[in-house]
Amino acid sequence: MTKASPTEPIAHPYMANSNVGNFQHMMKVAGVSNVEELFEQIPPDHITKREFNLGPVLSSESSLYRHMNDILRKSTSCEDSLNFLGAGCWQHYVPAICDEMVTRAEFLTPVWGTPSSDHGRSQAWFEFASQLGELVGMEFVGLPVYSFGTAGGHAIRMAVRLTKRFKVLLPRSLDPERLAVIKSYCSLPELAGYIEIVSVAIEEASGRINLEDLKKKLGTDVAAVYFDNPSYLGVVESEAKEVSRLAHECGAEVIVGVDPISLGILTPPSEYGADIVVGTTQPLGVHMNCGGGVGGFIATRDEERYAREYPTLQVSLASTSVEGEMAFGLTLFEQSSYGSREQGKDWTGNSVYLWAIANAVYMSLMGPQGFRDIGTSIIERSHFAASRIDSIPGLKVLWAEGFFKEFIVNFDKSTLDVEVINGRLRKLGIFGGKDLTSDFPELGKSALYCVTEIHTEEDIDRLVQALEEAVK
Amino acid sequence: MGKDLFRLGLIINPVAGMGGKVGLHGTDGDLYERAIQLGASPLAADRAAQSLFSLKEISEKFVVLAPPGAMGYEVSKILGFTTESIPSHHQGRTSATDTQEAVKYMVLCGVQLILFSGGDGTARDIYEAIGDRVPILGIPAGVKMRSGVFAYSPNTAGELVRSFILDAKKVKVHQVEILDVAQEHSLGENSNSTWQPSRFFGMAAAPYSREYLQSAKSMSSVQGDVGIDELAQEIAQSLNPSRLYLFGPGATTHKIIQILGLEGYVGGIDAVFNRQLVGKDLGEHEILELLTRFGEATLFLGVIGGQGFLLGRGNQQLSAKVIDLVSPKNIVLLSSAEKIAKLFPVHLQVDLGDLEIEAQLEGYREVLVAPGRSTVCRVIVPKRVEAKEEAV
Amino acid sequence: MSPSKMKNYRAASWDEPLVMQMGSEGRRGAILPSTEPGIVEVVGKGINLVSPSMRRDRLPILPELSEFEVERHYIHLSQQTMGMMGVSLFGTCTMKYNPRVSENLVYQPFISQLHPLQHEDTLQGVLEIVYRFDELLRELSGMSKFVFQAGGGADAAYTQTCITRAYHASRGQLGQRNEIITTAQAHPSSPATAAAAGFKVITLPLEADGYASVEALRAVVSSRTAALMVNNPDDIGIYNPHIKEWVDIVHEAGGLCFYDHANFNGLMTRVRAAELGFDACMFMLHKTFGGPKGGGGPAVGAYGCTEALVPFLPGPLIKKDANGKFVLEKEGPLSIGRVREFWGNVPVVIRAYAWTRAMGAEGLRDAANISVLANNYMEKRLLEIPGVTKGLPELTKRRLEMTRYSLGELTAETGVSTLDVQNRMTDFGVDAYWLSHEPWFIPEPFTPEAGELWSVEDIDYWIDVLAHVCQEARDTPEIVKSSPHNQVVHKMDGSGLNDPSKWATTWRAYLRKYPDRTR
Repeated sequence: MTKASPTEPIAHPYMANSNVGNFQHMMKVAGVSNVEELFEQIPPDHITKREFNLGPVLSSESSLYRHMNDILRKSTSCEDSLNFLGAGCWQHYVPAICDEMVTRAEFLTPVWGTPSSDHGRSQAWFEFASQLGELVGMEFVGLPVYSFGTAGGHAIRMAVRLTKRFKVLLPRSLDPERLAVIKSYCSLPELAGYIEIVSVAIEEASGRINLEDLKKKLGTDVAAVYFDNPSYLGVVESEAKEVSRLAHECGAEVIVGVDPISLGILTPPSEYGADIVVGTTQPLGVHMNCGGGVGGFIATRDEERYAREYPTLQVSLASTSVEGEMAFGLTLFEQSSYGSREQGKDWTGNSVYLWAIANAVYMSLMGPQGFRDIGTSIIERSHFAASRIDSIPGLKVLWAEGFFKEFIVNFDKSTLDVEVINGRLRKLGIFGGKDLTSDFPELGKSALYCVTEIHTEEDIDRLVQALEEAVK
Repeated sequence: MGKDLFRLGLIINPVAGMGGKVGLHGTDGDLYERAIQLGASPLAADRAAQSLFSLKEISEKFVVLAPPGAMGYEVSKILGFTTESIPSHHQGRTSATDTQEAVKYMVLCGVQLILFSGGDGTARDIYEAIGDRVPILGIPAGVKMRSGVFAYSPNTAGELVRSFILDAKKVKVHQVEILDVAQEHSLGENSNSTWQPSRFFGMAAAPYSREYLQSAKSMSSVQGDVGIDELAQEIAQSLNPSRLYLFGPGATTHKIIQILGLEGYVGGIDAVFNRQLVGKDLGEHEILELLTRFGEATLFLGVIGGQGFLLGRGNQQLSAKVIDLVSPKNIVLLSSAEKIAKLFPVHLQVDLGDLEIEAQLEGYREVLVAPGRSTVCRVIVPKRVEAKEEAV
Repeated sequence: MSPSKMKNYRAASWDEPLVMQMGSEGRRGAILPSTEPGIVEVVGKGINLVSPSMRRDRLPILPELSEFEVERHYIHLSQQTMGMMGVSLFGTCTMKYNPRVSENLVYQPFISQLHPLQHEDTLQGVLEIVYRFDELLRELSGMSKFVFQAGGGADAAYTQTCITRAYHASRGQLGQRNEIITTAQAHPSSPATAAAAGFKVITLPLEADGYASVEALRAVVSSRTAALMVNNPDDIGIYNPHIKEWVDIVHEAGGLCFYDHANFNGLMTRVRAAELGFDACMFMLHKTFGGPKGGGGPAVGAYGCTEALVPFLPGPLIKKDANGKFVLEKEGPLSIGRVREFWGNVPVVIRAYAWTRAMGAEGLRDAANISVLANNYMEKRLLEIPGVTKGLPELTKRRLEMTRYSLGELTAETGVSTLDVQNRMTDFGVDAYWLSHEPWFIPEPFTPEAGELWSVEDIDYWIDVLAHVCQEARDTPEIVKSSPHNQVVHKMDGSGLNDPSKWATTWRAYLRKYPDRTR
């Protein structure tokens, strides 16, 4: 295609006014004779002379599809292979209705709207917060944040503002990926507002927080104790109540990170002393999306003290000019960065609000019994896998009890490194667990395996066979 | 006198603005006597003349209606304008009743615009007499000018009147707030008066042009300003015990005094040394005395609402002499982020009547809005009509 | 031009209850695969695997619905969402077509079922697209490397503040360089992220020529300056022609310069951030590059920088090795680590790549031309509506892809505010317009952005609806003030939203605070 004149556009399916007639009409009404007049504000020496090379244009949808498909097919997905990777991004089944809703144009494409005209979306958000609140046992829930780690970072900053203390305690078992995010939320020592992160040891025997070490490190200078339950290394912190008690004794806030898919069988953190609950939303009806499915949330008791520290936006039920009618509006908008710029609480912006709709759909589909069943299914399958793997000569499951869906397989008795073993598994169509060797050298040659409701007895048998072969 | 001529009402409150320099807050009520005793001199007439001067070249296009003598007629005549005197019972000093009678009469005579020289008290008097029947425009000559009727400076008032006379259609008229502090009395150190927020009296009509009109003193809409509270805390904690601190009027600076547990006066100048109040609601002379006694000082100045004035409005005690002694580098500017955001452009004016000092203040200066947060404002000196002397 | 006929639009209203109010005990929307007997035999009952102290005793109170009921409920909610399915000229957000073909692509297992920790050998397809898109953005901006970890524009601004920290810390200057300079017209995320990162924030005010002055910048730049964070043009369509000088001033003082390219649509193929001297820039893939907005993400703030800052980028970096293989390179010792887990909202990157390839370089230039032209076309027509004035009218040069207007005169005349007008326009199938970032320095603002998507017919209809509503404001102001009337629900009463005794962000909080309104 060539252009009739250098400034007139070529008709393109994404641009309604790229036809010559409309373009010229607008030029005429706007009183523009030459397109460059439109850019009169930009000094000539700011305008590039570059001849752009963005590759051949693929304005035909069929050519574009072909191009994309040819490239993307080069990957091997967790449906092509049998996957045991978790570690912050988990493979759960995503009900078809979740995908149906998040691909509906009404939910997929909008921006802000008004409470009246985008009422349905606001309601879905409220249903997200309400159902998640039921799972974690909290009454005040913000709209989602970017991820689990960013939720943790914000929660720590909330605690620092609440206590005016600048030190937080985090267990050694924290996800290094998440810890890296949290660190970036804690500034650097050279700057005002720096938050010191102190690591609390875990027990060698159980993987749980070492209470003695916690006591040693706690003090009235500690803003918060943060821990995940279950931990990154899979372990359920069954002494969580004691951890909370010790923290509260020092006036510290207790922040607990959870995987809400566990909360049909595990105690909600509000019942063992959590002040701020954070966690992931990805397991609730969102695909892994190569990591692009992650999302996080922040929840607390409905107390003004906490509410006034939220960095997020949140929707609240409200009334309308018609008696009995419900609407949903943003509460505490002024304290967001939209409302108060640098004087707001941290900052907010685009987040993962579309996933909140998938989460709401997921929770509605599951219902109370669904959550009980999925928690049960996961814990049974993961323990089965652990027990089978533990019986493989040369392999050992560390902390064979008290985990939820992830557990550690130790390969110390093998001459091979985890990397090599995983390479062999890959050849057998299996993605082995996340290699922990460099992040947790104290655990030796270990890998973090994840088993969920999608793994059948047969899948686990296949894994066991493959592992047996791989370590030979 | 042709019927086609534009009819401009002029009224001067001859005692307006006199309280400022001597540390009084307006000359309403019996404060006037006190102001004269303390050595104040009329400035409303000066400002009116300054403002009207630019109308000289179009003097054939309008006729001025003004009350006799110092209330307007004199100045208008001196400038050579066609001037009609309107009847008045006014004798000696002016009262609110005089003003009100005069403007009512002007409305009867069909004036198209009333230009007045005064402060909030005068604006309120006029408003109470005529409501929004005729547009009014204020030449800033008072101590308090929170109402939305005031032009930025005498000069800009003149320019606005000029545009209005030449083509009234080109100048928009809009509704503005009439605000005033209802203050019964305030007499220096014996005063028990407490700061009262501006009271809203109603909406008057005023000719409008973005660059010429002072925006009405901004009223905070959100639940307080946390940032400025925290800043006040931070400043209060970091004061050097062996240095003199002066606090300009306004809620922003007063917060620091309150945090120190002192009883200052929000509407005046207070002084603190070694965390103790060493002067409250000070006049110019008292400040100069303190400066002589204590030596180096820091002056905390708030931005006075939407007026965009740093010095010369509502804080005339901080005269050129005072500023010179403190030194411009020792002035710390404070404002809530919200207040400053309402100024556009963020130009803060100084009007000290001393070109040398004003020049030292001119340019960009930092304004603190919260701990670790600041903005800058441009300090500017309003252009003066050069022929001022010749005019009066 | 004869005005369009006002559409006899009615929003769908199902009077849909909350999902928590629906259903019946024991109804199921999803059944989990039952655990195979072989598994139960080995591990016993699942609940016994939980230590007694951690067993949930009461089930969560969640709705109990059949699968269809859930589907129908959320279909209803989607139908009760106008979004951009009417006409949406929402300024600053560059409403674009989000090509459906990309939805088909990203929901295939080769994207949706990828795990970010898979070995790179198994990720060659997705790595290639992400890498190629990095190349396209480098071409458009002149930067050396892009990363996609930031979950939105604000997160990219945060990335900049983290990199600013790391950069100055690596030179031993962070203690001294603790100030970030921005402008009143920068997006709130610039000052907000700077403050959150621990910097002091200096905000330069807007001046009469539509941007902050060079003199103001000079007055605040010093050896304490860590960085400058600005957008250009700002969100009122004004381009700061002194921006090169700004960059020079800040560089001379030793600070970094970050270009928030949120408003890139009008500049595509004309301005390259690196050529203006910037050290880093940010593109919004969910705005300029055709990714869907999702009502607020998942989004991507693509962050790109010059060679000097590459060592500070968050990891991992996607690179191409000598054999043409794509690799995930672990971040080096100077890296800021992570601003978010993993390497970004990958499906959004895939969509952005597809969109950019579908447009090509000429298409991008056409889109820039059309969007700036459409804005100027709108301006011509909008200013003919009595009561509509242009923000900073004394600046007569043509605005770029957006212009801010004011309804201040209309409000003064009728008491009808910009929020009322916004609400009333939705009664005719027009999505809310963008008002202005805080603080408002133009009274009763509104900021439309026509972009390249919307047809002249759509734009005309939008303008005609506004004109109609402005006329209504004079004739029947009550109708506008009490609007909307044709929407899903009526005008919200927001009076309790900031009152702790009244707000309710969850149903359980609502039930506690309003016990009389039982389920």
